Amino acid sequence: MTREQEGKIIARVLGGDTDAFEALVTEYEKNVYNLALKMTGNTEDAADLSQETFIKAFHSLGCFRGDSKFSVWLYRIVSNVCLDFLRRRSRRQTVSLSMEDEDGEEPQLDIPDERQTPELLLEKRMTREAVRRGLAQLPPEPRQILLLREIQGLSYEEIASVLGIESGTVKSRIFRARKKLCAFLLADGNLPDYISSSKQGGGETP
Amino acid sequence: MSECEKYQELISALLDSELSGAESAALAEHLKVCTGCAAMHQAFSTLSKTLSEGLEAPPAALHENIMAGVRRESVKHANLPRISKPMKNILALAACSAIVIGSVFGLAPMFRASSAAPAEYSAAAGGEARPEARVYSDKAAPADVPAAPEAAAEDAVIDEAPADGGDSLVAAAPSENMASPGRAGLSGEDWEYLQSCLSGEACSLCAAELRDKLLYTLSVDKDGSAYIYLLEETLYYSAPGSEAILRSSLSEEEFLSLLEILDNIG
Repeated sequence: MTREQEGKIIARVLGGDTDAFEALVTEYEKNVYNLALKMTGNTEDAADLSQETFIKAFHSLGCFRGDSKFSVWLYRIVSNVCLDFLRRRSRRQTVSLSMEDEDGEEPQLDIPDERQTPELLLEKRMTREAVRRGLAQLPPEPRQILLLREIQGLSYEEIASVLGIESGTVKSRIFRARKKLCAFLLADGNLPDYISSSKQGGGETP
Repeated sequence: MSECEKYQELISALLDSELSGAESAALAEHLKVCTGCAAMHQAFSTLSKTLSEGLEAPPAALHENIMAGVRRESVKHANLPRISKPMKNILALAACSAIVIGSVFGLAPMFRASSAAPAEYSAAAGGEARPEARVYSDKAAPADVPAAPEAAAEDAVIDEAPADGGDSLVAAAPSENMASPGRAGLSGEDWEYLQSCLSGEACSLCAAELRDKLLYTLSVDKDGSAYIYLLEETLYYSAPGSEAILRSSLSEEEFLSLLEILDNIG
Protein backbone atom coordinates (compact mmCIF):
# COMPACT_ATOMS: atom_id res chain seq x y z
CA MET A 1 0.00 0.00 0.00
CA THR A 2 1.45 3.37 -0.96
CA ARG A 3 1.61 6.33 1.36
CA GLU A 4 -0.90 8.12 -0.80
CA GLN A 5 -3.39 5.25 -0.58
CA GLU A 6 -2.93 5.16 3.17
CA GLY A 7 -3.50 8.89 3.38
CA LYS A 8 -6.80 8.52 1.54
CA ILE A 9 -7.94 5.71 3.80
CA ILE A 10 -7.03 7.68 6.91
CA ALA A 11 -8.95 10.69 5.63
CA ARG A 12 -12.01 8.51 5.09
CA VAL A 13 -11.76 7.05 8.58
CA LEU A 14 -11.41 10.51 10.10
CA GLY A 15 -14.42 11.58 8.09
CA GLY A 16 -16.48 8.95 9.90
CA ASP A 17 -16.11 5.87 7.68
CA THR A 18 -15.14 3.35 10.35
CA ASP A 19 -15.16 0.41 7.94
CA ALA A 20 -12.41 2.01 5.84
CA PHE A 21 -10.09 1.26 8.77
CA GLU A 22 -10.33 -2.44 7.93
CA ALA A 23 -7.90 -2.04 5.02
CA LEU A 24 -5.23 -0.84 7.46
CA VAL A 25 -5.95 -3.76 9.76
CA THR A 26 -5.59 -6.19 6.88
CA GLU A 27 -2.32 -4.62 5.81
CA TYR A 28 -0.61 -4.54 9.19
CA GLU A 29 -2.20 -7.12 11.49
CA LYS A 30 0.38 -9.78 10.73
CA ASN A 31 3.34 -7.56 11.56
CA VAL A 32 1.69 -6.11 14.61
CA TYR A 33 0.76 -9.57 15.87
CA ASN A 34 4.25 -10.93 15.32
CA LEU A 35 5.88 -8.08 17.19
CA ALA A 36 3.49 -8.61 20.08
CA LEU A 37 4.15 -12.33 19.92
CA LYS A 38 7.90 -11.90 20.21
CA MET A 39 7.51 -9.27 22.91
CA THR A 40 5.19 -11.34 25.11
CA GLY A 41 6.13 -14.88 24.14
CA ASN A 42 2.57 -16.19 23.96
CA THR A 43 -0.18 -16.16 21.38
CA GLU A 44 -3.06 -15.21 23.64
CA ASP A 45 -1.45 -12.04 24.97
CA ALA A 46 -0.19 -11.23 21.49
CA ALA A 47 -3.75 -11.36 20.11
CA ASP A 48 -5.12 -9.22 22.94
CA LEU A 49 -2.38 -6.63 22.58
CA SER A 50 -2.79 -6.55 18.79
CA GLN A 51 -6.44 -5.77 19.25
CA GLU A 52 -5.62 -3.10 21.82
CA THR A 53 -3.09 -1.61 19.42
CA PHE A 54 -5.53 -1.21 16.55
CA ILE A 55 -8.22 0.21 18.81
CA LYS A 56 -5.73 2.75 20.14
CA ALA A 57 -4.59 3.57 16.63
CA PHE A 58 -8.18 4.12 15.59
CA HIS A 59 -8.86 6.21 18.67
CA SER A 60 -5.75 8.38 18.16
CA LEU A 61 -5.84 8.55 14.38
CA GLY A 62 -6.50 12.29 14.62
CA CYS A 63 -3.05 12.65 16.24
CA PHE A 64 -1.35 11.08 13.20
CA ARG A 65 0.10 13.97 11.28
CA GLY A 66 1.48 12.06 8.35
CA ASP A 67 5.06 13.22 8.76
CA SER A 68 6.18 9.66 9.37
CA LYS A 69 4.95 6.52 7.66
CA PHE A 70 1.71 5.15 9.08
CA SER A 71 3.48 1.83 9.73
CA VAL A 72 6.14 3.53 11.86
CA TRP A 73 3.44 5.30 13.83
CA LEU A 74 1.53 2.05 14.29
CA TYR A 75 4.64 0.17 15.42
CA ARG A 76 5.25 2.82 18.01
CA ILE A 77 1.81 2.08 19.41
CA VAL A 78 2.17 -1.70 19.46
CA SER A 79 5.62 -1.38 20.87
CA ASN A 80 4.45 0.83 23.73
CA VAL A 81 1.35 -1.25 24.36
CA CYS A 82 3.58 -4.33 24.76
CA LEU A 83 6.08 -2.50 26.92
CA ASP A 84 3.35 -1.30 29.26
CA PHE A 85 1.94 -4.79 29.40
CA LEU A 86 5.33 -6.32 30.26
CA ARG A 87 5.97 -3.72 32.92
CA ARG A 88 2.61 -4.40 34.53
CA ARG A 89 3.27 -8.13 34.34
CA SER A 90 6.72 -7.85 35.86
CA ARG A 91 5.22 -5.89 38.75
CA ARG A 92 2.87 -8.76 39.42
CA GLN A 93 5.58 -11.41 39.30
CA THR A 94 7.54 -10.69 42.44
CA VAL A 95 9.23 -14.07 42.60
CA SER A 96 12.26 -14.49 40.39
CA LEU A 97 11.81 -17.08 37.69
CA SER A 98 15.28 -16.69 36.29
CA MET A 99 16.51 -20.16 37.12
CA GLU A 100 13.97 -21.99 35.05
CA ASP A 101 12.44 -21.23 31.73
CA GLU A 102 8.78 -20.48 31.21
CA ASP A 103 7.74 -24.00 30.40
CA GLY A 104 9.60 -25.39 33.39
CA GLU A 105 11.68 -27.55 31.08
CA GLU A 106 15.00 -28.98 32.05
CA PRO A 107 17.85 -27.14 30.38
CA GLN A 108 18.97 -29.07 27.34
CA LEU A 109 22.39 -30.59 27.26
CA ASP A 110 23.72 -30.05 23.81
CA ILE A 111 26.89 -31.92 23.09
CA PRO A 112 28.94 -30.08 20.50
CA ASP A 113 29.64 -31.97 17.34
CA GLU A 114 33.23 -31.08 16.50
CA ARG A 115 32.93 -32.30 12.91
CA GLN A 116 30.61 -29.47 12.00
CA THR A 117 31.69 -26.03 10.90
CA PRO A 118 31.19 -23.18 13.36
CA GLU A 119 28.47 -21.72 11.17
CA LEU A 120 26.46 -24.94 11.08
CA LEU A 121 26.98 -25.42 14.78
CA LEU A 122 25.65 -21.96 15.46
CA GLU A 123 22.56 -22.39 13.32
CA LYS A 124 21.84 -25.71 14.93
CA ARG A 125 22.06 -24.35 18.42
CA MET A 126 20.52 -20.97 17.90
CA THR A 127 17.09 -22.39 17.17
CA ARG A 128 13.99 -20.25 17.22
CA GLU A 129 13.04 -21.90 20.48
CA ALA A 130 16.39 -21.03 22.06
CA VAL A 131 16.11 -17.45 20.84
CA ARG A 132 12.55 -17.27 22.16
CA ARG A 133 13.79 -18.29 25.59
CA GLY A 134 16.62 -15.80 25.35
CA LEU A 135 14.21 -13.02 24.40
CA ALA A 136 12.02 -13.86 27.39
CA GLN A 137 15.00 -13.19 29.65
CA LEU A 138 15.80 -9.88 28.03
CA PRO A 139 14.32 -6.85 29.86
CA PRO A 140 11.36 -5.28 28.01
CA GLU A 141 13.20 -2.17 26.76
CA PRO A 142 16.07 -3.89 24.94
CA ARG A 143 13.58 -6.45 23.66
CA GLN A 144 11.45 -3.65 22.26
CA ILE A 145 14.26 -1.90 20.41
CA LEU A 146 15.71 -5.11 19.01
CA LEU A 147 12.34 -6.27 17.69
CA LEU A 148 11.55 -2.92 16.10
CA ARG A 149 14.67 -3.55 14.07
CA GLU A 150 14.45 -7.30 13.48
CA ILE A 151 10.71 -7.85 13.03
CA GLN A 152 9.48 -4.52 11.76
CA GLY A 153 12.66 -3.70 9.87
CA LEU A 154 12.67 -0.06 10.93
CA SER A 155 15.79 1.99 10.21
CA TYR A 156 17.75 3.53 13.09
CA GLU A 157 16.27 6.88 12.20
CA GLU A 158 12.73 5.52 12.32
CA ILE A 159 13.39 3.77 15.61
CA ALA A 160 14.82 7.02 16.96
CA SER A 161 11.59 8.81 16.12
CA VAL A 162 9.48 6.00 17.56
CA LEU A 163 11.34 6.04 20.86
CA GLY A 164 12.18 9.74 20.97
CA ILE A 165 15.92 9.13 21.21
CA GLU A 166 18.88 9.91 18.95
CA SER A 167 19.93 7.44 16.27
CA GLY A 168 23.39 7.15 17.82
CA THR A 169 21.67 5.90 20.95
CA VAL A 170 19.63 3.46 18.87
CA LYS A 171 22.84 2.00 17.48
CA SER A 172 24.40 1.40 20.89
CA ARG A 173 21.18 0.12 22.46
CA ILE A 174 20.61 -2.40 19.68
CA PHE A 175 24.19 -3.54 20.03
CA ARG A 176 23.82 -3.97 23.80
CA ALA A 177 20.54 -5.84 23.31
CA ARG A 178 22.18 -8.27 20.87
CA LYS A 179 25.12 -8.75 23.17
CA LYS A 180 22.91 -9.42 26.12
CA LEU A 181 20.81 -11.88 24.15
CA CYS A 182 23.97 -13.69 23.09
CA ALA A 183 25.06 -13.79 26.73
CA PHE A 184 21.78 -15.52 27.66
CA LEU A 185 22.14 -18.00 24.80
CA LEU A 186 25.67 -18.70 25.94
CA ALA A 187 24.57 -19.22 29.53
CA ASP A 188 21.86 -21.61 28.32
CA GLY A 189 24.46 -23.56 26.37
CA ASN A 190 23.03 -22.39 23.06
CA LEU A 191 26.19 -20.75 21.88
CA PRO A 192 29.56 -22.46 21.49
CA ASP A 193 32.11 -21.46 24.10
CA TYR A 194 34.47 -19.80 21.67
CA ILE A 195 32.03 -16.91 21.42
CA SER A 196 32.59 -16.20 25.08
CA SER A 197 36.27 -15.39 24.56
CA SER A 198 35.22 -12.33 22.62
CA LYS A 199 32.91 -11.18 25.36
CA GLN A 200 35.44 -10.78 28.12
CA GLY A 201 36.21 -7.30 29.32
CA GLY A 202 33.02 -6.10 27.74
CA GLY A 203 31.82 -4.53 30.93
CA GLU A 204 28.22 -5.41 30.16
CA THR A 205 25.82 -3.44 32.26
CA PRO A 206 22.63 -5.00 33.53
CA MET B 1 34.66 0.73 25.48
CA SER B 2 37.48 -1.49 24.31
CA GLU B 3 38.76 -1.51 20.73
CA CYS B 4 36.98 -4.80 20.02
CA GLU B 5 33.76 -3.56 21.57
CA LYS B 6 33.78 -0.65 19.14
CA TYR B 7 34.14 -3.09 16.25
CA GLN B 8 31.39 -5.25 17.70
CA GLU B 9 29.06 -2.28 17.73
CA LEU B 10 29.94 -1.81 14.06
CA ILE B 11 29.11 -5.47 13.41
CA SER B 12 25.67 -4.86 14.84
CA ALA B 13 25.20 -1.75 12.67
CA LEU B 14 26.50 -3.61 9.62
CA LEU B 15 23.76 -6.22 9.97
CA ASP B 16 21.23 -3.39 10.09
CA SER B 17 22.69 -1.79 6.93
CA GLU B 18 23.54 1.32 8.90
CA LEU B 19 27.27 1.44 8.25
CA SER B 20 29.18 3.86 6.02
CA GLY B 21 31.60 2.54 3.38
CA ALA B 22 34.66 3.58 5.37
CA GLU B 23 33.36 1.93 8.53
CA SER B 24 32.56 -1.27 6.64
CA ALA B 25 36.07 -1.38 5.19
CA ALA B 26 37.71 -0.85 8.59
CA LEU B 27 35.52 -3.54 10.09
CA ALA B 28 36.29 -6.00 7.30
CA GLU B 29 40.03 -5.53 7.96
CA HIS B 30 39.57 -6.09 11.67
CA LEU B 31 37.48 -9.24 11.16
CA LYS B 32 40.33 -10.78 9.18
CA VAL B 33 42.68 -10.58 12.14
CA CYS B 34 40.45 -10.88 15.21
CA THR B 35 38.89 -14.29 15.82
CA GLY B 36 36.84 -13.04 18.76
CA CYS B 37 35.09 -10.40 16.70
CA ALA B 38 34.73 -12.81 13.78
CA ALA B 39 32.93 -15.20 16.13
CA MET B 40 30.73 -12.37 17.36
CA HIS B 41 29.91 -11.53 13.75
CA GLN B 42 28.73 -15.08 13.17
CA ALA B 43 26.72 -15.09 16.38
CA PHE B 44 25.04 -11.76 15.65
CA SER B 45 24.17 -12.63 12.08
CA THR B 46 22.76 -16.03 13.00
CA LEU B 47 20.76 -14.39 15.75
CA SER B 48 19.44 -11.79 13.35
CA LYS B 49 18.47 -14.44 10.84
CA THR B 50 16.70 -16.56 13.44
CA LEU B 51 14.83 -13.57 14.84
CA SER B 52 13.58 -12.14 11.59
CA GLU B 53 12.64 -15.29 9.70
CA GLY B 54 9.16 -16.69 9.36
CA LEU B 55 6.40 -14.48 10.63
CA GLU B 56 3.58 -16.50 12.12
CA ALA B 57 0.00 -16.22 10.92
CA PRO B 58 -2.26 -14.50 13.44
CA PRO B 59 -5.17 -16.48 14.92
CA ALA B 60 -8.13 -16.69 12.53
CA ALA B 61 -10.42 -14.69 14.80
CA LEU B 62 -8.02 -11.78 15.29
CA HIS B 63 -9.11 -9.74 12.31
CA GLU B 64 -12.79 -9.86 13.22
CA ASN B 65 -12.07 -9.19 16.90
CA ILE B 66 -10.07 -6.11 16.00
CA MET B 67 -12.80 -4.74 13.76
CA ALA B 68 -15.50 -5.51 16.35
CA GLY B 69 -13.43 -3.60 18.93
CA VAL B 70 -12.91 -0.70 16.54
CA ARG B 71 -16.64 -0.46 15.79
CA ARG B 72 -17.46 -0.46 19.51
CA GLU B 73 -14.88 2.27 20.00
CA SER B 74 -16.32 4.22 17.12
CA VAL B 75 -19.76 4.32 18.71
CA LYS B 76 -18.31 5.25 22.10
CA HIS B 77 -16.15 7.90 20.57
CA ALA B 78 -19.02 9.56 18.75
CA ASN B 79 -20.66 10.34 22.08
CA LEU B 80 -17.64 12.03 23.66
CA PRO B 81 -17.14 15.80 23.70
CA ARG B 82 -14.29 16.69 21.32
CA ILE B 83 -11.41 19.01 21.98
CA SER B 84 -10.19 21.08 19.07
CA LYS B 85 -6.86 20.18 17.46
CA PRO B 86 -5.16 23.56 18.07
CA MET B 87 -5.98 23.19 21.76
CA LYS B 88 -4.53 19.71 21.72
CA ASN B 89 -1.30 21.01 20.20
CA ILE B 90 -0.96 23.67 22.83
CA LEU B 91 -1.67 21.14 25.52
CA ALA B 92 0.92 18.77 24.12
CA LEU B 93 3.51 21.52 24.16
CA ALA B 94 2.58 22.60 27.62
CA ALA B 95 2.83 19.04 28.75
CA CYS B 96 6.22 18.46 27.12
CA SER B 97 7.87 21.55 28.35
CA ALA B 98 6.48 22.32 31.73
CA ILE B 99 4.10 19.96 33.36
CA VAL B 100 5.95 16.71 33.06
CA ILE B 101 9.29 18.19 33.92
CA GLY B 102 7.57 19.81 36.83
CA SER B 103 6.12 16.46 37.83
CA VAL B 104 9.37 14.60 37.84
CA PHE B 105 11.51 17.28 39.31
CA GLY B 106 8.74 17.80 41.75
CA LEU B 107 8.78 14.21 42.95
CA ALA B 108 11.43 14.66 45.58
CA PRO B 109 9.80 17.59 47.32
CA MET B 110 6.55 15.73 47.30
CA PHE B 111 8.05 12.73 48.97
CA ARG B 112 9.69 14.74 51.68
CA ALA B 113 7.42 17.68 52.02
CA SER B 114 7.64 17.46 55.76
CA SER B 115 11.42 17.67 56.02
CA ALA B 116 12.73 19.62 53.04
CA ALA B 117 11.98 23.05 51.66
CA PRO B 118 10.00 22.35 48.48
CA ALA B 119 10.07 25.88 47.08
CA GLU B 120 13.83 26.07 47.26
CA TYR B 121 14.29 22.63 45.79
CA SER B 122 11.98 23.10 42.89
CA ALA B 123 13.51 26.45 42.05
CA ALA B 124 16.89 24.76 41.78
CA ALA B 125 15.49 21.83 39.84
CA GLY B 126 13.53 24.05 37.49
CA GLY B 127 16.60 26.12 36.73
CA GLU B 128 18.47 22.98 35.87
CA ALA B 129 15.67 21.56 33.80
CA ARG B 130 15.15 24.43 31.44
CA PRO B 131 18.30 24.27 29.34
CA GLU B 132 17.85 20.53 28.95
CA ALA B 133 14.29 20.97 27.82
CA ARG B 134 15.45 23.32 25.08
CA VAL B 135 18.20 20.98 23.94
CA TYR B 136 15.59 18.30 23.64
CA SER B 137 13.00 20.28 21.76
CA ASP B 138 15.61 21.40 19.25
CA LYS B 139 16.94 17.95 18.60
CA ALA B 140 14.24 15.38 18.78
CA ALA B 141 10.98 17.21 18.72
CA PRO B 142 10.53 17.88 14.99
CA ALA B 143 8.90 14.57 14.29
CA ASP B 144 6.17 15.00 16.82
CA VAL B 145 5.86 18.50 18.15
CA PRO B 146 4.10 21.09 16.05
CA ALA B 147 6.53 23.76 14.90
CA ALA B 148 6.88 27.51 14.86
CA PRO B 149 3.49 29.05 15.57
CA GLU B 150 3.30 27.64 19.05
CA ALA B 151 6.91 28.37 19.96
CA ALA B 152 5.92 31.45 21.86
CA ALA B 153 3.43 29.45 23.85
CA GLU B 154 6.16 26.97 24.70
CA ASP B 155 8.39 29.70 26.05
CA ALA B 156 5.64 31.10 28.12
CA VAL B 157 4.87 27.74 29.57
CA ILE B 158 8.48 26.87 30.27
CA ASP B 159 8.83 30.09 32.18
CA GLU B 160 6.17 28.86 34.51
CA ALA B 161 7.97 25.66 35.23
CA PRO B 162 10.04 26.60 38.29
CA ALA B 163 7.11 28.11 40.09
CA ASP B 164 4.93 25.17 39.26
CA GLY B 165 7.43 22.38 39.53
CA GLY B 166 7.15 21.77 43.22
CA ASP B 167 3.59 20.69 43.43
CA SER B 168 2.24 19.84 40.01
CA LEU B 169 2.52 16.14 40.67
CA VAL B 170 0.49 16.50 43.81
CA ALA B 171 -2.20 17.98 41.63
CA ALA B 172 -2.18 14.83 39.55
CA ALA B 173 -2.58 12.56 42.55
CA PRO B 174 -6.11 11.27 42.46
CA SER B 175 -6.43 11.03 46.23
CA GLU B 176 -6.11 14.76 46.90
CA ASN B 177 -9.16 16.94 47.30
CA MET B 178 -8.15 19.10 44.35
CA ALA B 179 -10.70 21.52 43.05
CA SER B 180 -8.80 21.58 39.72
CA PRO B 181 -7.77 25.19 39.38
CA GLY B 182 -5.95 26.02 36.14
CA ARG B 183 -2.17 25.73 36.03
CA ALA B 184 0.63 26.68 33.71
CA GLY B 185 -1.59 29.18 31.99
CA LEU B 186 -4.36 26.67 31.38
CA SER B 187 -7.95 26.87 32.47
CA GLY B 188 -9.23 24.34 34.98
CA GLU B 189 -10.97 22.38 32.26
CA ASP B 190 -7.87 22.25 30.07
CA TRP B 191 -5.74 21.29 33.02
CA GLU B 192 -8.05 18.39 33.73
CA TYR B 193 -7.85 17.28 30.13
CA LEU B 194 -4.08 17.41 30.33
CA GLN B 195 -4.12 15.29 33.46
CA SER B 196 -6.23 12.72 31.70
CA CYS B 197 -3.77 12.81 28.80
CA LEU B 198 -0.91 12.13 31.13
CA SER B 199 -2.69 9.32 32.86
CA GLY B 200 -3.34 7.74 29.50
CA GLU B 201 -7.10 7.92 29.75
CA ALA B 202 -7.65 10.36 26.94
CA CYS B 203 -4.76 9.48 24.69
CA SER B 204 -2.34 6.82 25.69
CA LEU B 205 -0.06 7.90 22.86
CA CYS B 206 0.45 11.34 24.35
CA ALA B 207 1.38 9.87 27.71
CA ALA B 208 3.80 7.39 26.17
CA GLU B 209 5.31 10.08 24.01
CA LEU B 210 5.82 12.38 26.92
CA ARG B 211 7.46 9.66 28.94
CA ASP B 212 9.84 8.85 26.11
CA LYS B 213 10.75 12.44 25.47
CA LEU B 214 11.34 13.27 29.07
CA LEU B 215 13.33 10.14 29.51
CA TYR B 216 15.53 11.20 26.66
CA THR B 217 15.93 14.69 28.04
CA LEU B 218 16.97 13.40 31.39
CA SER B 219 19.23 10.69 30.12
CA VAL B 220 21.40 12.98 27.97
CA ASP B 221 24.96 12.76 29.18
CA LYS B 222 24.03 10.59 32.08
CA ASP B 223 25.31 7.07 32.32
CA GLY B 224 24.35 3.83 34.02
CA SER B 225 21.41 1.68 33.10
CA ALA B 226 20.13 1.51 36.66
CA TYR B 227 19.70 5.25 36.55
CA ILE B 228 17.81 5.07 33.29
CA TYR B 229 15.69 2.20 34.53
CA LEU B 230 14.68 4.08 37.63
CA LEU B 231 13.83 7.15 35.65
CA GLU B 232 11.72 5.07 33.35
CA GLU B 233 9.90 3.63 36.30
CA THR B 234 9.44 7.09 37.70
CA LEU B 235 8.05 8.42 34.49
CA TYR B 236 5.84 5.46 34.00
CA TYR B 237 4.24 5.85 37.34
CA SER B 238 4.35 9.60 37.59
CA ALA B 239 1.72 9.84 34.90
CA PRO B 240 -1.11 8.60 37.09
CA GLY B 241 0.90 10.52 39.61
CA SER B 242 0.77 9.04 43.04
CA GLU B 243 3.56 8.28 45.43
CA ALA B 244 1.70 5.21 46.60
CA ILE B 245 1.80 3.63 43.16
CA LEU B 246 5.45 4.44 42.79
CA ARG B 247 6.26 3.04 46.20
CA SER B 248 4.42 -0.20 45.62
CA SER B 249 5.99 -0.60 42.21
CA LEU B 250 9.57 -0.34 43.38
CA SER B 251 11.51 -2.35 45.89
CA GLU B 252 12.60 -0.51 49.03
CA GLU B 253 16.13 -0.40 47.67
CA GLU B 254 15.03 0.99 44.30
CA PHE B 255 12.85 3.53 45.96
CA LEU B 256 15.71 4.79 48.13
CA SER B 257 18.09 5.06 45.20
CA LEU B 258 15.40 6.89 43.29
CA LEU B 259 15.19 9.47 46.07
CA GLU B 260 18.95 9.77 46.00
CA ILE B 261 18.95 10.28 42.23
CA LEU B 262 16.23 12.86 42.41
CA ASP B 263 18.22 14.66 45.08
CA ASN B 264 21.23 14.71 42.81
CA ILE B 265 19.36 16.05 39.82
CA GLY B 266 18.84 19.35 41.60
